[in-house]
Amino acid sequence: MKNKSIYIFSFIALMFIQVSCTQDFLELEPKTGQVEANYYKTEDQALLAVAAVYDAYSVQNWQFAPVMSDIFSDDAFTGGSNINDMSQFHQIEMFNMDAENNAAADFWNRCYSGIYRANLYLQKQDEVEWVTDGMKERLEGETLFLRAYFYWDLVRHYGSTPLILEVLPSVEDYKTIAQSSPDELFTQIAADLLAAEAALPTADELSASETGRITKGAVQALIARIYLYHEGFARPTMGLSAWSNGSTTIDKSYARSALESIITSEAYSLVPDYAELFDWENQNNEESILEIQYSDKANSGDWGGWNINGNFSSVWIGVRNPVGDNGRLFPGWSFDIPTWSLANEFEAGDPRKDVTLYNAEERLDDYNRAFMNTGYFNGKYMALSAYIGAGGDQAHNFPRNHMDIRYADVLLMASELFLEDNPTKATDYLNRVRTRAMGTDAALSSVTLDDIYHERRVEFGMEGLRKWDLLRRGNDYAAQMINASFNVPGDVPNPSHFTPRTFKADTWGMFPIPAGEIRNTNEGVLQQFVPAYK
Amino acid sequence: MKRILFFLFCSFFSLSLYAQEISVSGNITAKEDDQPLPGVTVVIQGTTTGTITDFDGNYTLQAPSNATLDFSYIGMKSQSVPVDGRSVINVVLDNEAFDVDEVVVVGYGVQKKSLVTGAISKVGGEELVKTSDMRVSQALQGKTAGVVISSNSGQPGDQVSIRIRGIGTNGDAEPLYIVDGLPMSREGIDFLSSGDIESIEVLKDAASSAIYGARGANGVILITTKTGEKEEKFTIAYDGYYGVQNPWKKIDVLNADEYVTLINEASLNGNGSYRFTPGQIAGFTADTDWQDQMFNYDAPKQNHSITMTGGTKTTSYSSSLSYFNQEGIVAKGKSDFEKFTYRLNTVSEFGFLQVGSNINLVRIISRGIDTNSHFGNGLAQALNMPPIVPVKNEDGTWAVPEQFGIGLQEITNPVALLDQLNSETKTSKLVGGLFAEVDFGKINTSLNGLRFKTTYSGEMALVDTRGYTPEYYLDAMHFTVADEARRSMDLWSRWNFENILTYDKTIDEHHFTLMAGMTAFKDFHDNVSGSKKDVIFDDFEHAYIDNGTDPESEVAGGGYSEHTVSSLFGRVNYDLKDRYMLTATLRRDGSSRFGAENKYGYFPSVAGGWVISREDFMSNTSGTIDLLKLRASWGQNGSESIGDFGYTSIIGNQNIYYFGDSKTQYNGTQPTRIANPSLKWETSEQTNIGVDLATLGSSLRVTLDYYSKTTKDWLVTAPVPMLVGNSAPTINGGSVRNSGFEAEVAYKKQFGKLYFSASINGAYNKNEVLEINNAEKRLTGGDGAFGQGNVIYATVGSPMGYFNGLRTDGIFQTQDEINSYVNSEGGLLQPNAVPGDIKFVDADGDGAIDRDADRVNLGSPHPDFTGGFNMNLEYAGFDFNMSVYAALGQEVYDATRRYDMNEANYPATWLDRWTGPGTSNEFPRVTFVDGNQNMTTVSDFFVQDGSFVRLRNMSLGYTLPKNLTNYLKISRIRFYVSGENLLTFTKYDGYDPEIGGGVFSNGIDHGIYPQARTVLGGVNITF
Repeated sequence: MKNKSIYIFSFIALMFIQVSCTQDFLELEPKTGQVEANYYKTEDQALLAVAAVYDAYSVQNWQFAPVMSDIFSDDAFTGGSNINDMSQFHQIEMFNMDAENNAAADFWNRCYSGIYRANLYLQKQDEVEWVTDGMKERLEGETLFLRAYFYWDLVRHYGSTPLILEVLPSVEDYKTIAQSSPDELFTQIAADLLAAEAALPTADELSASETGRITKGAVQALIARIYLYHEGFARPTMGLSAWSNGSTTIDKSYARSALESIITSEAYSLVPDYAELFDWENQNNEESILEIQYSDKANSGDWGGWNINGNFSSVWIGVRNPVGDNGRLFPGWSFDIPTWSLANEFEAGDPRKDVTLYNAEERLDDYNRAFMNTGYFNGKYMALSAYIGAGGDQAHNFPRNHMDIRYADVLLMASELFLEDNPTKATDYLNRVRTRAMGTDAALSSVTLDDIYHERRVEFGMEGLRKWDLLRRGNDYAAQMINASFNVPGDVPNPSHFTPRTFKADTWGMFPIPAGEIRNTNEGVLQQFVPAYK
Repeated sequence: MKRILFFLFCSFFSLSLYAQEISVSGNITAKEDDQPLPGVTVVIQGTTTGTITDFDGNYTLQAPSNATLDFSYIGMKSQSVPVDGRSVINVVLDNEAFDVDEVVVVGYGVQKKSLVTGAISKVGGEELVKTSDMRVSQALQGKTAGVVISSNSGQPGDQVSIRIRGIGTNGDAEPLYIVDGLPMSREGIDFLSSGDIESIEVLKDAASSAIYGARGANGVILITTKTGEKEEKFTIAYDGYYGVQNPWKKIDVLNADEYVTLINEASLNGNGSYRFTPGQIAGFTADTDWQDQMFNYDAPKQNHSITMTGGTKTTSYSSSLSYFNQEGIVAKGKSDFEKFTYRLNTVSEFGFLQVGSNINLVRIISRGIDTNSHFGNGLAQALNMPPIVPVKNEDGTWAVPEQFGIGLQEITNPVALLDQLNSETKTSKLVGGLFAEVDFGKINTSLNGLRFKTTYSGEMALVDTRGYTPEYYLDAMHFTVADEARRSMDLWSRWNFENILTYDKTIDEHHFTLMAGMTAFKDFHDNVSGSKKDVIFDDFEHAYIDNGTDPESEVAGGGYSEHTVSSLFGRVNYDLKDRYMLTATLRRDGSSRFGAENKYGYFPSVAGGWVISREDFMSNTSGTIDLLKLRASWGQNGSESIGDFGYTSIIGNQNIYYFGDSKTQYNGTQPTRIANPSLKWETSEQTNIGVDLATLGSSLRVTLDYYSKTTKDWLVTAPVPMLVGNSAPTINGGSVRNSGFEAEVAYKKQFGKLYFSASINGAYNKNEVLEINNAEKRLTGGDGAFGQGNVIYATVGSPMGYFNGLRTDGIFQTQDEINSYVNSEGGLLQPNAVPGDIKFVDADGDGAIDRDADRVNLGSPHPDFTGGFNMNLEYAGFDFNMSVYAALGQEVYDATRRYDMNEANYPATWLDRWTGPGTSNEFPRVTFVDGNQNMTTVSDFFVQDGSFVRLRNMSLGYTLPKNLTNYLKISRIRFYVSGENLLTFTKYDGYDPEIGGGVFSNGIDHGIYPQARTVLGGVNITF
């Protein structure tokens, strides 16, 4: 009997001892996914970490940046099903954005997500064991370019925002970062871009597997684009100093030589047929300088909007319930409706009109004419049935890249920059773009700024550039063009959809700093910068 | 810890006293009818040694000659009889009173109710059987004070939300379920049928639940299943019922004429033009009642179970086989639940060793639709569908709003949508365990009272969902371009290993119970899923992934997660003369969910009780006061329901981008969120004071409790500035206090042949957030009507979750009223308003209507008061039961109409809309252009009183007389009819005011799948 008790007590004692040695039992490592501390060690991991920065550049969420720009301009109406549909866009259209506007918040969020990913990578890159020569410098250049892009998006949409160049130890540290002035932001953008320009290869140095990566040409083109905005709008409106990184000033001559360097490199050329430029089979073509890559390969996407890897805006801007045209169109939601003002800008016989504006009244048997219908749709980027993704939700998986900067833009920017000092060159550059579309007979003998603006509008219609062109010609010009775009033809069946709007110069074409951001930082740290939102 | 306990045990061994053991036997009869009573528990007082009377009411046991025997039987007054050296003790039990010495299950043990110092409510299995058509957790509704149970929806098999003493967390507020010692999730307990349950104990205060440490903060529900009794005659019982269910309410919506009128009026108010021309209107032939199309009237529900129990001298067993089948009252064939279960419990005794095992095999087949969503395929579709659209066109194709030029986006023909829905979930589940218990007293009498129990139990559930989406085209929003077969399999498994040592000792008038134990627990979740398109067969029957032919459409996924907890705990129970009780517990928990900085947590509790009625000075009240006990307790608990790896940051790989001419996919990586290594469990601290009273010959029992429970260190995903650039870390950053009163009054009395019992309980809870540790000092969530985000707030000083929006002040009747609604500078407060629009209140008085700053508390989705009334009458073979549940003081947010879509149908209440000065001060004008944002602003327009009183269950049964059943060779046969949800009193005009859910979804009605009204008939036969 005694023995039995001893055995049992020994057993019990073992039970308890077992428990006191359970440290390992409680130390679990995740089986799916790695922990941060063990990551950023190999070159493959570095490539993927930088891919995540690119991903932030491609994120549309529900706030499609080119679409928001066009709705602000005289090129597009919001559309949708009714006035409550995407009310954040109607606010942009009517210049009455409030600080709770989702578009303002999500766009801000997207930029700072990208900045976080870029900063984190830049901090971790020294831990990586590099095996390929030059890879570190190149990835650093790409990351700097993208960070500059995010800050440029911030400075042109919010004016003054916190400048964050590293991942801070605690989230509390972010709550006390004061806004940097527009000058400081532009200086950082210049610094990052100039570093990227020096580090990155030219387009012809890329292999076929590297298509879509940032090149020197992309950096130079962006420098010119930002210079034009800075010089034309930001400096006079906000009273900024000349654009520089602190040592190198990016002035007109710097921008001009950046563009000339692209042109003379002959790494790019115009696609001979304007319609082919927008053929879905002809993506990343010879005219493409900076192109956001979208694909149906991930077969993924959720309606929250952050994990979409195809071009979501394709569905967003498509025709509602189209019938006819051999079933070419994939049904969409009829946002981003081209204005009559844009339609009227095209010269007779300009083939760019039919590419830019899909005329649903003529080309379809029937479709659902929803809110602010003009009969026109964004013909360059609307969803096509032939390209429905194989898996996931179709709306999220359209493999349609967005051409952010193309060679025609380089030529027209150069034309504008040479207009005063070298009119011949300016005319030549403009004519290269114009005659590509309309034939050599359409060549102009000399050009004016108005000619360049007209050419830009018909060349880049519905590509998201118009707003920035309007602003950099001054508020009066922007007001005149934008207000006129709500002049509705007399015979439309839906005049009540178009409440007249009046451009508000004191919005500076910008968004309010999101109210949630002000609530979530320490009191008084963030303040509205744009006069309209103060 | 270990050493201290051993030391204590050793000290008590030396104090052991010896007494001579004799054999005692006897017969127990009922006073009422002099019939022998089987199943009476006979326990040697102060020990857990005892036996049960056999079928003829006889018992035999070995007991010390100076011992006292406790005789107890559910529903009868217990008796304690000293042995005094006698070998035969016959006892007559009186059934007309409450048993003050009823045994209740406490964490890791049992205790006499009269000695319990915590707040524990017990619901006996016999009470659940009377509502056998309900799910176990649902059947608890209204049975105990302070336990709020609300159904998430009426869909068969859907979950209920249980809140014990209010909401103590912004996260998972569900209590911990322990079934026969195995910790389970609320989804996990669905294998149980009410008939399998011996008792349910709800541990409400911290002193009772602190023994569950880091897992007990939301209270603990202990479920004990039935086992057989030793030397019990073999019996077979059949229980079965069949019933039909129906919706108890339809929402009145516009018919076709009214619809056309209102839409035209809205269009005219908005655009200045008619939406439908007279010509179009003349062409509308349909007037579809979409709700009728969705409801499945007279949906059947049935259950059949066979239970076998019995026992030999050393072994007892209980097994049951049951089948349950329920169709939903919505979406015939797409919303149903079928369950087969088999269970076997056995316990055997080999001298000093008792071993037992239980096993449950479960198979569940279920199909479901969306239960409360303004997207998807639920009732919201039916409420918003224009009545002018027929179900089908003349050519037999589905009709859709689009054919009528009506753009309703997610809303389309719901019957057609359901037709495309093909999904079925099959769950196969194994739950079981083994235990062995050593009674050292039987090895060596010097170790009397020392017991050791080891238990290993586990659960394995394979949840297999198969789906098929056909190729179809309804409208621009609802179509597929290829059919698809889908499959997903989830394997949920867990094991729990538990060892408990108890020592029970009585020295003169001192009685001790010491307990020490350990548990280790691990759960796992594996899942795989896949899909493929272009299936070679176009039906659900053949929807297997291998039949898909499009290789590019292949999608596969899968993952794994695990979670471990390891714990040590101990408890001391001490009572003096059965009058003064003291209990103290301590538990140490370690969890894999906590980082190295906070791996372990310690959770103490202490409780005391004083049975005043046993004091000498109360002796003159004996006969009037049978029991009067004061209880007080304090304790701390934790909650580790905080998700895995919350303390660290995992690299995610869903930041996808493409490079190369062929667009090679790069799964870009970044940490999924900011890490917080100091993350720890939530802690709740609770003080409880209670009184137990039994009087009128123990026929009236009253329990009163006051509690104050503060939960701190909740996990808050603090809204951090977006500047951070990644998802916010989870931090311990908030606290909430729940305080309240609970009362339970129960009465039982035999009046001649009439047996009457009734109980009423009520609880008042006040919930106040004390701290939210983020910059905003608030938490927000909950989607209201489409486009209305964050309708539920939690802020400091307010309840945990309340509707927050603008207060309205009627309708602007005239332009003058708009023009005179100005701020101090003369500016219009609502410049976009026109007559007929809602007038919003400038709550902060800053002279502007601001949709954030002017929000105020519009009421809470949580009831202030909940209560239940239960009654049971028995007379001459008839029995009558009813159960009423009341939840008062809560609000419902009505988000059923899609106001973002102009042409969605309206509830008929809109017929009273504003159409001109003086027509309505409640409903605004209808309009396509809502410049005043009447319907996109979160306001009290959407908030309604959600209080309700519901007759949960009423049943009438008849048991055939004994002489008749004897003739039939049957021991008992009872027939009954029963009704569920027969009556509901509420002011809420939606389907159902009972809308359960999480903290930020509770009480928001998106077209809830309502509770069914059920009428059924059944039979219980015991052979």
